[in-house]
Amino acid sequence: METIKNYLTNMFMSLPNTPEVVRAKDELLSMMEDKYQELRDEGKSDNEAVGIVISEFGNLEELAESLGIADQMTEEKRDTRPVLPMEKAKEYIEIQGQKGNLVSFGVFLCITSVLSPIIFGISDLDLIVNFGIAGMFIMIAVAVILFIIAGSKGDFKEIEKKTVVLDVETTEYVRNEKARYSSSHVIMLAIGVGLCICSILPPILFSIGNLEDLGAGLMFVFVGVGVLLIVASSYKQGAYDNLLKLNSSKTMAERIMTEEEKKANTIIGNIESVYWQTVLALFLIIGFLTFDWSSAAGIWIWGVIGKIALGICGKLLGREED
Amino acid sequence: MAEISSDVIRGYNDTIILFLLKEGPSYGYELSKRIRQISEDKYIIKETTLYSAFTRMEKNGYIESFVDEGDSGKKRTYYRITDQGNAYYESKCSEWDLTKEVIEKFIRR
Repeated sequence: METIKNYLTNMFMSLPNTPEVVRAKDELLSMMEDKYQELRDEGKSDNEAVGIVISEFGNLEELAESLGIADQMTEEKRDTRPVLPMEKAKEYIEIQGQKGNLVSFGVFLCITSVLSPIIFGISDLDLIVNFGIAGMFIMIAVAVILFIIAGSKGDFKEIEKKTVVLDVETTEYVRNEKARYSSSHVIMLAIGVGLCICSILPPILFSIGNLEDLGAGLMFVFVGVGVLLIVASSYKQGAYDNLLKLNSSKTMAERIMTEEEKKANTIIGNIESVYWQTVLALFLIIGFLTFDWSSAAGIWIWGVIGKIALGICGKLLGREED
Repeated sequence: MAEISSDVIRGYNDTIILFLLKEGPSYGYELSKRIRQISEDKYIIKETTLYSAFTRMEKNGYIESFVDEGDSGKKRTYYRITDQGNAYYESKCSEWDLTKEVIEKFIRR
């Protein structure tokens, strides 16, 4: 029975989401269900019954005139984008995960590169101090190489430009994977944000005596690891979201999306998808400009408040749309 | 065995459905099952054909739809014939008599 439902959903996916189309789909499903049930009662196997029901279904072109969508069947209003193969979707998720690892490690290297001058700066010898500075640039250079490798990985123009759609099976797969990943995503994000906030502690704790360097060093380690976790998990989460966003909300494809996925299609969803990255960027910019890291860390508190406000706005807007 | 071409029968799907609805209100699958039985498995109407006939005839006022649970308890859309539909059926029957008479003149075996 699930096969029949999926078959019908796929057939209808590109049609506009209008009451007539919804009704037609429901009616056709009801007829197909009745027929399937009767065939099963006659002793046919599931496969046989599904085969017969689908072979006797007919074709959508026949419905076009009676649904008032005859023009849409030929015009560009119809969603004619090809379906993204499941394999390609899996590959995209995997590559995005790898990219996330490369980029997050690169960012980690950039942030912790300042450790090199700090550590080697302890020495009185000019040569060793210079080693420290050289070390910093080497770390940044490695990071840049990582960024370039990440950028050259995989070619998924069709997903970025949204020129493909997902069918029911792939949507189902991506949704399940996303649900499975969501707990790790939340944990990584929470630890990441937590580490960024806690990064103000070492400079405060080690502000006495000549331990200041240690405090500063630990702060960069905290921020580095925190940012690594945030970026890595965001990349993977972003892969799932980008795939689910492919299905247009104007067509029947919307009917296989959940509320959350519909929200991801809205402007607020777009803001949210880069939200923590923006906060992070602000934190780093303010921090490096003022070198007053404890004040800069305040941005994380504002970030959390803003995130909650955005969540409330999303709920209110969502209600209005209904 | 020769198969019925959908092009030929298209003009008479309405007649077939109205004939069955004259016996009493019915729903999608029941109608398709009756068509199959009466035609002795020679004509199996496609779901899309049936549904497009429903919407077209409802728009023209030949049939009316209503939701009912029937005996099975499953909510279904039922269709019943209207006076207009009865009149249309009569006119289609006369049309068929004429069509049959004309075409017969061109059939020789």
